[in-house]
Amino acid sequence: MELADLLGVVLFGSVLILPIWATGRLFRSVLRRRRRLLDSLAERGDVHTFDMPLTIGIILFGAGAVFAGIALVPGLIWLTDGDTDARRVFLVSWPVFGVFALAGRLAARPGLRIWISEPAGVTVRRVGVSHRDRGSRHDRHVAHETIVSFHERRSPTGAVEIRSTETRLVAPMQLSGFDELLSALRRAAPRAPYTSWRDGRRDHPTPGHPDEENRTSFSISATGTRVTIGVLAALLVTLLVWPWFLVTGESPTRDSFIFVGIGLLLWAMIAGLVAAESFPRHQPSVLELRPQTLAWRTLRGGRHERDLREVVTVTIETDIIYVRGFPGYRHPLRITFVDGPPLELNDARARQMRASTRRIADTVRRHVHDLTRRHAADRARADALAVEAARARADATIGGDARAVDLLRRAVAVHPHPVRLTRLRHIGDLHRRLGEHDRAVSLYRAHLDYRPDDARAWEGLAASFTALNRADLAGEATETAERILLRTGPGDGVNE
Amino acid sequence: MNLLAVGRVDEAVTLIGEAIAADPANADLHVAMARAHHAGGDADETLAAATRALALDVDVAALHLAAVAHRTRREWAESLELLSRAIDLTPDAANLHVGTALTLLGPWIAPADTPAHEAERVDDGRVAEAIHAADRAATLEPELALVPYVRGFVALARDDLPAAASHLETALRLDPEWSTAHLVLGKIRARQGMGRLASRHLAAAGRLEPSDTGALHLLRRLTTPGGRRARRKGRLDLDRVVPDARRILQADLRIGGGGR
Repeated sequence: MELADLLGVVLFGSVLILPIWATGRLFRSVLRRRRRLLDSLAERGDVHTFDMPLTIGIILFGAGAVFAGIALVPGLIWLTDGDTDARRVFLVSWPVFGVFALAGRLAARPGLRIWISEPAGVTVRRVGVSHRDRGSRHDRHVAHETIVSFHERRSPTGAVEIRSTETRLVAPMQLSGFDELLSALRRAAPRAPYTSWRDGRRDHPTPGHPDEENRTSFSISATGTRVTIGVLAALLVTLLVWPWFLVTGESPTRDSFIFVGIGLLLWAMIAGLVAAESFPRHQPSVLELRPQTLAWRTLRGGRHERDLREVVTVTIETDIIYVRGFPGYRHPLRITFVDGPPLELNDARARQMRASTRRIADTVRRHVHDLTRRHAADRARADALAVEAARARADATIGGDARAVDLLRRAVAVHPHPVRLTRLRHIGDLHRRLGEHDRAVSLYRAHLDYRPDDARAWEGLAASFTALNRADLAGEATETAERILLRTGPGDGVNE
Repeated sequence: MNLLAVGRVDEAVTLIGEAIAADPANADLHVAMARAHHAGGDADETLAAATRALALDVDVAALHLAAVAHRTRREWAESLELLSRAIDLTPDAANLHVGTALTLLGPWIAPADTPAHEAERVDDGRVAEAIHAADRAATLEPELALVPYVRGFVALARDDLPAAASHLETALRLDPEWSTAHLVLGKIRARQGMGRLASRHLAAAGRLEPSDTGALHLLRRLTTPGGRRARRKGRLDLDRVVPDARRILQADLRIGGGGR
């Protein structure tokens, strides 16, 4: 091999390696800044990052740089030999590099998304490609207690969604530390509705309109949505079917009318399903808080009214719904009465009422537990019921327990004094012993509104969930109970 | 008795045996012998010594020891009969009422190794009687840790794990150094799925009673040296148990215990 050939090979190698090395240097510097930023944020809580845009940007920019490096070879040939073809290739290569570099820059534009899982909630911060921390001006914070639901969806096309009452945060897949973030949310989610209500007063003001505090009715506008669904269905059928006649140039025949008819029927079915899903009949469309009663109306015109002295619990349940195998958390509102079926209202219906189940629950609970709405006689009656329940329990038979639990529920409903409300766990225990796990769950939930750190109530809740075959929820309640017990259990000389 | 307090049971048995040889008609010596055998965990010899004592003189202590021996041998009816006679003699002894409750709950307290043992676990009013006996003991001696212990077993007989755990926690608040209560509570916590908490109580039981290998055996079953399959079965990684339990298990692993 002659010296000139050897030099050529070295030169070719250099022009390939040089841009890769330069790109590497550039991004090492970027990554160093990123590490420093993450270290500083780690002091606030668990940090989870999503940097797919940056990775794509690096790949595109690197590819462009390699292309530009290769383009140096015809440039050298043009300089040494004056070859016009080489000149053309060299000059054309640079805009190509520019396109790659621009595409890389655009791809990296979303920057780094950082999720900080803090004790109070989740904060999302975005920083640019340079990873310079620009402070918390553009942070989005979602408190745990405002998180209504989140979906654990990790399909290739899916994303992780965290829905709160005000914000919808979407975290694409491959979020590093994703499992930890989800488990943190899972831990917080069942507790979320309880932290806002302790000892009969709100810890946090209701976000949103100031009138929310005094709101006495929640209602939906069903007609508008039904009309929208109908119009959309008709529009879609028209759009799908009519151009077919125009394209084919045929006059509508009997078959085409049948075809259109089938299409309309299908769309009517879909619209019906959507309506049924969005507007469940048994859930209230209007909920009114009247001075001495709680009134609600359902879509089929059913009107109901219950005395405030018949309301036993107003709780937010936690439910997990699996959609295509991915769990999503829901927090429906459940109001139970001394007798009869409970009143339930799910997250979707609450959103239709321009509120959240938590907000509605807070308002209803405040209204129901307002002792100024009770008479002196109510207190005396509640005391008498409690005494009668104690007598029934002393009977120590299953029948005695059933009678006692009924009396205690009535006592709580008639006069929901804070002291009486803290005994809700005992009623829950009695329900559980009687095998009425569904009712026990509501009672435990209501108790945990007042005593969120009562491990025994969490244990009871877990036992009831187990009996109801809700292993997922039972697991979470058990986990919470264990965490509390490990923190506050009796000292046994073990250093934790 | 001082020898028994320091665990020198064999020496105590020898000395009491010599005393009995010198004075075979002394009922108190036979009671002492029964107590020594009870401390040594020998139910048959305890029963034999207590029976000899009862042949000489009907004494509450002898009746109680014989009842305990019968309970250990799973002879519930005989045990209850003797306890009933002891209560007739001293109705205000809280420990006799607790003993009655423990015997009534015997099928649930003793391990059920065979189907016959499982079949004994039928609540034909015995649980209600045990509650009554425990209540009576609580009235006589409210601070007796055995009372919530018995109530814990009542709840356990009804398969009410949260209540059972709560009563045993109360028993441990009254007597934090009670290894058996720690062991039972550890088992309950493990059944509830609270592995970490179970490991805490099992470690405490192992620390308080190192000669009892039950706690160590349960700790081994609760944990796994690794492996996804074992984790799916709800077992804990070694680094997830409480530090005391980890130390015990690491020592166990070092000496190659349990065939792990």
